[in-house]
Amino acid sequence: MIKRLSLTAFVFLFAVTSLYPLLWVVLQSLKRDAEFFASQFSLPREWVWRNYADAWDKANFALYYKNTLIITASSLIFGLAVCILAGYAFAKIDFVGRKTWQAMFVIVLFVPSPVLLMPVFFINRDMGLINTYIGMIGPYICGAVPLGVLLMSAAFRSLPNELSESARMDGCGEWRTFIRILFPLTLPTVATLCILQFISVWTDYMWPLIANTDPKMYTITVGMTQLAAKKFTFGYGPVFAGMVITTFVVILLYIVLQKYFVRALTDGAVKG
Amino acid sequence: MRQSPLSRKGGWKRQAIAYCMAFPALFFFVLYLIYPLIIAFRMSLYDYSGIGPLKDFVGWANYKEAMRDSSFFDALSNNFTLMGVEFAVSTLLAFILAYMLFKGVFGWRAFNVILFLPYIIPLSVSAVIWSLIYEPTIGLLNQLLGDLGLKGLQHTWLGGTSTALGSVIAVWIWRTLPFNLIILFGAMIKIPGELLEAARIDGASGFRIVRHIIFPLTIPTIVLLAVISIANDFRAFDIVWIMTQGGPAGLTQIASSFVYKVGFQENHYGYANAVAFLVFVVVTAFVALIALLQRRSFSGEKGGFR
Repeated sequence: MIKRLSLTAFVFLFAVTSLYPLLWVVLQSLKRDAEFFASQFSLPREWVWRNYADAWDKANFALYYKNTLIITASSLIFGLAVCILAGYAFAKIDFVGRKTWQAMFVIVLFVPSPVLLMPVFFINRDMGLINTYIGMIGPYICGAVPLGVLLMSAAFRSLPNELSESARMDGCGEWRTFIRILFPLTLPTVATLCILQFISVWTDYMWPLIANTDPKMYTITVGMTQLAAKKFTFGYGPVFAGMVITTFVVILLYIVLQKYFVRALTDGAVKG
Repeated sequence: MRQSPLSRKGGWKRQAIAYCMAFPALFFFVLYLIYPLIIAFRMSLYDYSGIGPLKDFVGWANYKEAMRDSSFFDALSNNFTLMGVEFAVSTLLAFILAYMLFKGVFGWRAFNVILFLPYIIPLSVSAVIWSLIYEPTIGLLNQLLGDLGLKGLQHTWLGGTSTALGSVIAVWIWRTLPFNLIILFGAMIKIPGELLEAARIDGASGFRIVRHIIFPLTIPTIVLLAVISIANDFRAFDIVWIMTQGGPAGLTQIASSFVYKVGFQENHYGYANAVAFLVFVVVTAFVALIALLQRRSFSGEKGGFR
């Protein structure tokens, strides 16, 4: 019992280092700068919601949020659609070149992103896609492909063949068998991919920083760091509020979907 | 009669269906992954400032220049320091914490949720949080040290030559520990209970159980974590770029931030691509080495426990 208590105390100390920096941000986001300078450890004397309004309007977070939502949603929908379709083909049809493509998918999982970012930027530039949503989204769809196709084809392959055969006997065409019978059974894997894609697009910093020359196209991560760099113009309050705005969606989803989140992030660990 | 390979594979129609279904994925894969790799390699053989077509072919000169460039080697060495320290400290702490959670802690479910948080929040947000915590005058860390009467320990954390890299690494450990923890905890839960029970009946102490049962059984997981560390630590751009931009005087420059600086800030795209390719080779070689070592050391004792 005492041993268990001391173990708990030790783990508790670590939990404080995990949680406190985040609580600290939330607390400062509700203070005036004068109070932030004077006492960081206390609760806000009065709750200054103005900081959030300032971040949202003056520091353009409304615009960054819209960009991030559009980019994340499209990358999620299109990225998953292409992976599901291709995953089925890779699992169920022995087409020419299948093994080669699969091998390529595995190899590229280790390509460090700096190798790709510059040439991808030039490809987009030559196609006139700088400062466009399509130019932002395309590489994210591609980013979902290697791991997404591998995981989806593994999910389709794990389904017993009798399932599709009996469906065919009942007069189901291949397409209907795929959509109505096999696809619903792969939903756990689809959920994993959804979370991975959401996290990697929503939290990405390097690609939106490189892909755009126009600040109107920034996503919230880039907008938030720009705001942090301008803390002497806007004050510290909006910077903290901006961080909360950037993060709370992710934390909310994490708390609601905790089990799926942990599984997704551990399954997709090698991806970057 | 011999079947042609194509008809064995279901004939033209099935092939066409397969390619129609796979086409969108393969299209994006080729356009934004395979083609860029080719371009990156081609660009690395040119002197290119980012404007107009590639025309100043220089052969391997960029690679030779990288071999003489001490700031490139400094960035690589910082990256290896970051990786080594991060992996050692973060895995060790994660192992201890995972073992404690495994042994049984009050409210372990709540702890699991909280301890994973640093891994969930966007890396760019962590970087800004920690640069504010490290801030010399109003930052949380120096304020805390001041309040505790430890003024002597206050530093300009990210600006000081002796503390900059260590401060960055500390944040990186904060970030990676939760992931290592959850993976190691998962590995410990999978250890057969009879094994631990038998050891306990034989009178083995807690420490000996860890040393002779739990640790050996989690080695494959630790190797996996090493591979993931290598892959991630060479991409740790956000943290470094937001907190220090590689400064002071290049002391926290790592591979990815160096490539970004040389490319997008100094417009030496040819040279930056050569460096990026060299980093790619180093990372791949390192991962292959670990895979090889692991295969050699485990081929002898495979099946020992299963």
